[in-house]
Amino acid sequence: MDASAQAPRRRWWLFRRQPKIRRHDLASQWQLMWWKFRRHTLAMIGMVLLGLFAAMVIFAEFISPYPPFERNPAYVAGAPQIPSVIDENGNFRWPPFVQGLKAERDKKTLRLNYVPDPSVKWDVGMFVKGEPYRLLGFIPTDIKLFGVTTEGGFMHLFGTDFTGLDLFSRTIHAARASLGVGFVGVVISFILGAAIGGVAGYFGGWVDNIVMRLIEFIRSIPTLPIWLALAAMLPRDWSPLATYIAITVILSLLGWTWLARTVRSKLLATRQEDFVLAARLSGCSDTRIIVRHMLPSFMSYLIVDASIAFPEILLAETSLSFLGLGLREPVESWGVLLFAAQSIRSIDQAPWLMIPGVFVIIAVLAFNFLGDGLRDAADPYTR
Amino acid sequence: MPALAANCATVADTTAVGAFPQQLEIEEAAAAGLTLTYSDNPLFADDVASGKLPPVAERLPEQPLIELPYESCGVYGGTIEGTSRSAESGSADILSWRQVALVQMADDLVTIVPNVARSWKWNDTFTAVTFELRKGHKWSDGAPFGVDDVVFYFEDIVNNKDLSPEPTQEWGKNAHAKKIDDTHVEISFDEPFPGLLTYMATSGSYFTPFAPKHYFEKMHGAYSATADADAKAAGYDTWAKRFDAVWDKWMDAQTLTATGLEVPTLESHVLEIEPTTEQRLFKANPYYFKVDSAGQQLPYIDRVHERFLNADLQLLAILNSEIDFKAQGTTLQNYPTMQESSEKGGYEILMPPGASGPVLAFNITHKDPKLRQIYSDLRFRTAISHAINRQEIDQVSYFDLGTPTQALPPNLTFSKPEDSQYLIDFDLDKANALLDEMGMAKGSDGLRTYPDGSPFTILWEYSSQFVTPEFVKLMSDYFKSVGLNVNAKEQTSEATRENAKAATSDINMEWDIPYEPTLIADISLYTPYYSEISPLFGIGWKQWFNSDGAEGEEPPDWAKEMFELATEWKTVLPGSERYMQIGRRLIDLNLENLTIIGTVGSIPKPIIVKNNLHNVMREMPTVHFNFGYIYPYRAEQWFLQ
Amino acid sequence: MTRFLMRRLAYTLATLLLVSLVSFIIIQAAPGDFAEIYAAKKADAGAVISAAQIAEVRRELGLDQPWYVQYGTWLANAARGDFGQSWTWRRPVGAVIAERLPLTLAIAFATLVFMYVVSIPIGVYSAVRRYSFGDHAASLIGYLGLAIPNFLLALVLMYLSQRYFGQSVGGLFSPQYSLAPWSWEKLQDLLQHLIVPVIVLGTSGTAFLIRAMRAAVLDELDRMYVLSAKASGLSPMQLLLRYPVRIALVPIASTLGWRLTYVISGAPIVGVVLSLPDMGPLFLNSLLNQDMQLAGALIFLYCALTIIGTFLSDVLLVALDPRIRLE
Repeated sequence: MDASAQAPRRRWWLFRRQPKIRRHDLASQWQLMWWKFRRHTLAMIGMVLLGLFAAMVIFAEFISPYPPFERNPAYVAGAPQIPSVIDENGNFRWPPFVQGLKAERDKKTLRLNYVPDPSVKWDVGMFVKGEPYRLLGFIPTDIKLFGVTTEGGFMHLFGTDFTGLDLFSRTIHAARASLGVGFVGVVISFILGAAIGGVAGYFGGWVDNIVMRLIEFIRSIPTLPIWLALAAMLPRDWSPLATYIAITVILSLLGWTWLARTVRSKLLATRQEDFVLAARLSGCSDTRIIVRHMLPSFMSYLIVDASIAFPEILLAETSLSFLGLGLREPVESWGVLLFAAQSIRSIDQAPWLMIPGVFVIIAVLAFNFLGDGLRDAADPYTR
Repeated sequence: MPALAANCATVADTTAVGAFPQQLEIEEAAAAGLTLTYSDNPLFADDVASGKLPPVAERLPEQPLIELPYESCGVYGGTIEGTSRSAESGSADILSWRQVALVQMADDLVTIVPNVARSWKWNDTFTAVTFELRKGHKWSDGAPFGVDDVVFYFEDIVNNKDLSPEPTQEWGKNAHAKKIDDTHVEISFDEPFPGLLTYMATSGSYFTPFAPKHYFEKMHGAYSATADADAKAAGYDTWAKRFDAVWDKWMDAQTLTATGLEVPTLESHVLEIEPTTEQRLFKANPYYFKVDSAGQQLPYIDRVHERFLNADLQLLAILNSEIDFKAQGTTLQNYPTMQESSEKGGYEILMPPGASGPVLAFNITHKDPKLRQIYSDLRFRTAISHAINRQEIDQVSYFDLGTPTQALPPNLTFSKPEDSQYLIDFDLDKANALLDEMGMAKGSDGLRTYPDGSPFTILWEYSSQFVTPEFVKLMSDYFKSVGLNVNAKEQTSEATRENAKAATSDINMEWDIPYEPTLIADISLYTPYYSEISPLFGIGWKQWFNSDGAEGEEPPDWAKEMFELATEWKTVLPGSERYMQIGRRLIDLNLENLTIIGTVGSIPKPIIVKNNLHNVMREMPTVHFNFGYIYPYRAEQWFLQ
Repeated sequence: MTRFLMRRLAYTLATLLLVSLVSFIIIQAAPGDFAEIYAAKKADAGAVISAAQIAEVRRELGLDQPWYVQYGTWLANAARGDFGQSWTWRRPVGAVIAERLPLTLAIAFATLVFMYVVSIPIGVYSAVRRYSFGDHAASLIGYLGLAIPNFLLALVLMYLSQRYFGQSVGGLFSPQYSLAPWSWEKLQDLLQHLIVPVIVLGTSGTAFLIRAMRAAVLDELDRMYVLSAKASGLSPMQLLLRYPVRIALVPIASTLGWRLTYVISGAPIVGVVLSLPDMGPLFLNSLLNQDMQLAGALIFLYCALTIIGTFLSDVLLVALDPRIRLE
């Protein structure tokens, strides 16, 4: 990247430290990568964000104040409510509160407006009681991260949709399906890519030739139209869950080529290495050589590729669902939520329904940051 | 721009009154002292000057129809902008602007008035009706229109075995046409059919009972010896296939392709350029048969421009003041958005009451025997009706403007007020008890199964053309609240219709509740299978009944009774005692069997009218597919200024 | 050179053949009995379809033949430009597509031009002013461009342009121009309408190209010849444009084929959201309505466009950089 600026300084640094044994000399490959990765600020930010997303996925029931399918008939297509600690007179007020609201229909436009009711304030607290659920799937509890403590009050952080569902809770829950598709899709791509690329790279010759042509072919065709066509082929009576699985498989069907190519080229390169020859001489089977000796030697590159494939699959799922060909309710993904937000009516009357789109953007950014950092770190011996 | 015609009688005029509201025949105009000096659109001036078109007096029939405008006699010119979803989706609105038929419904939606036909006369038994056509009436290519074109339609299309292997019964049982003299044609049928004119003026207005013989005979096997060879040369197997490709019963379909440029028409506007996947353009018909009360030939508007846009873009186009008129497909949900932009967009929103809200019909004759078993159980349908919180739907989805109701055609002379309230009380306990009784036990996940314990799911494919996603979401919630699993999925209206025809859909929703005149016209809308375009259920039943049990499947007794009543209904005189009895019994049979489950009705229907569009009827009783949308409100007299 | 081109051409043809097979399989894989669906579509409203009619359709469409015979017939017809009949539009598929193809190409071309015109200067700037505010801003925008889903951007831009600029939406012309003959005003109208789709389609590609261009120029800037040229007193601007930028352009140009694939791939969804008169809405509707003849032809065409585009960009590249021939 930036070798010229660093070169003179590095020579000087090598010279100073040469007599000592540096920790770099003793560190493992993974340790070196981590040290290098840590220096990449954006990548660290990406990792923190992904950590938050992971928490969202695991603790969705705890974080979301309402169950994702609970309608609030008193607040339909309501705007986001932001808790405040300053009341209308500018005085500090604790606990935080949201303003009480009452519905008023505009006689002319028929729009339902929620106007603040100054006499009513709803207190907001942490660790409040809510609907019972099972934390992590087995701990029965009813404690929610936050919520309204005043009887009869409500708070919808991201507003509600046209049927009164809490968008915040839904967005949190939807992370499961969206990131799930990405994760499972990447795993399938990974397996496909490693297997196909592995076969090509290890055997070489005509096998390699065919696989390479196949990869070139898949890459030369536009993915979205094919995805759309395949998604439209799904039998109409499949359950949402079956559709979910099928969509994931479809998305990974075309996504394995990058990984396969990396695996292949790295295999071709490592095939000549001494440690492979040693393994072969000691009578290891082909599979064992590939899986135990060759794959680990370039695992880091595969992780980089996977981190780049992830946002692509995430975006593809979102796009497919948005067009009505992907996931659908009751499965909730960000794409499904955005499907409901796509009408002009939504943009005009309830623009907050686009908030899940922000989550998509953040997730994709986080993965891109992470991918960049990993790419730099993947080759820990350079620089 | 030329000034408005001075000597112009409008609908408000008390002196210019004929036998029928808002229009005069030439004798009536003379009697009322109207002097008609024929004039025409300057659009045709060049063609008239060059001799390509004869002057207006020769283009008009000797007996033109004189129309009294709503506001004033208009000025010529302009292009009216409209939009449909695609060539065959949501395009009936624009078709209705140029629509013609033998007769027409007046804007009270009760009185039938002359249109292409000048007059008619029934025989005593209502088995034959004689129409008088207008002397000198011409097709849009200048060829004479007359009795032969009606006879051709009946004898060579409807009753031609190659074109219609099974003749349709819509114009009466075994209908035939016979030439009486140059201007009189008689249509006769085996059984009395007093509702024929009502049918022609309402839902039958989309299929006019005449066709240009001079154009079609050259590709018709009965007239042209080379018809088959010509068809082969044009790429069709037989002449009938070629004929089918050009002719279409549905009047709008003939203008889908370039052949629409050749097929002559009587409509107010004629296809001008080859249609594309984006748009169609129509130009004023120089041979149109109506004039205003000052003698100006209608229509005033030069061109009709129809763009195909998706639902969202239609809304944006309206907000952006690009649409002059829109009645079909505007949803109430968009009302706030449209209202807030109305000043900027320069349009007004009319809100005629809508006939119906969304209804659900479970497919009692589903192809899947297990589903059929469930859906044909009256307890199931009753449970569903009790599980629906209609009040909430009205609030959430329809701004509180609708009325909770059971499925029932509105404003029937033979209905009782309590009919609309039948089994609509929101009662989950009742619903659950009924489902329990059916043996649909709840599993550990809270979802009910088939009585045999296998998982049960309702597959609900809906089209956003008839219902909003919110509605479906609410309904799905109600189903789930009584333990019924539902898999809801949006589809195009085309796809839902195909599934409905194939009887593979679980829920069908496309039932436009008709008013009484449309029931007089076509009672099959209130008996299985309820809809021609998108059957609700019972196609096989009808087949069984029509073939006396030779085909199809045997209907239950209540459906048999409905078919028998419907057959009789067609032959009785509207308003007679027997008519009322049959109507009453049909309501009872439909309600008792909950054939169709209603939700919320009387939902107003927003209609967009640009401020520069004039002569638009303001107090439309309703705007409805079964009345041909704008057809009763005479779009040919609209003008832009 | 000729040998290389011949080889590429042969490969391109083979790929096209493979793509045609894929398209055919997709037509065949449509759920449900095609003959039954087709018969239902052909039947008049409300008519009941008999088994005999379905058998007739099956025979008519050749569905009673083995699949390879069907494929052969389809391919032979397709080669003559006959892709069958679209039932939604009741017209030959070829005619329907022919209407939409020019604008599809126009949008793709305009997007490619936009991407390169925008990304090359920004990429060069970022490389020269490394770590400056502008460089960081460019990379941030680049990241965002990669992350924002096309359809979301399309939706928001469409609404904003209508709401705040009074721009007519839907299609590429305002209603008053859609039927008018070509004129200067009509061209302006078209260009105005192209802005949103081109931005939407171009953002992610632009982001990618900016990064690639920046890296390529940086590589060149480190070379010795730059130093020597600098020493010989060339003005910085001249120097920059004469050598590093020119050399850096070659690898950028070589990705033209990929970029095209990318643009074509993204086009349908943008076309759908903006209701452009390109192949996008046609494609989605054909899938939703199971108008499989049309859908299959469109898939084939989308693929063919990228394959032919890639071939052309290969040819272009060989013309630009003779070294590649030896590869």
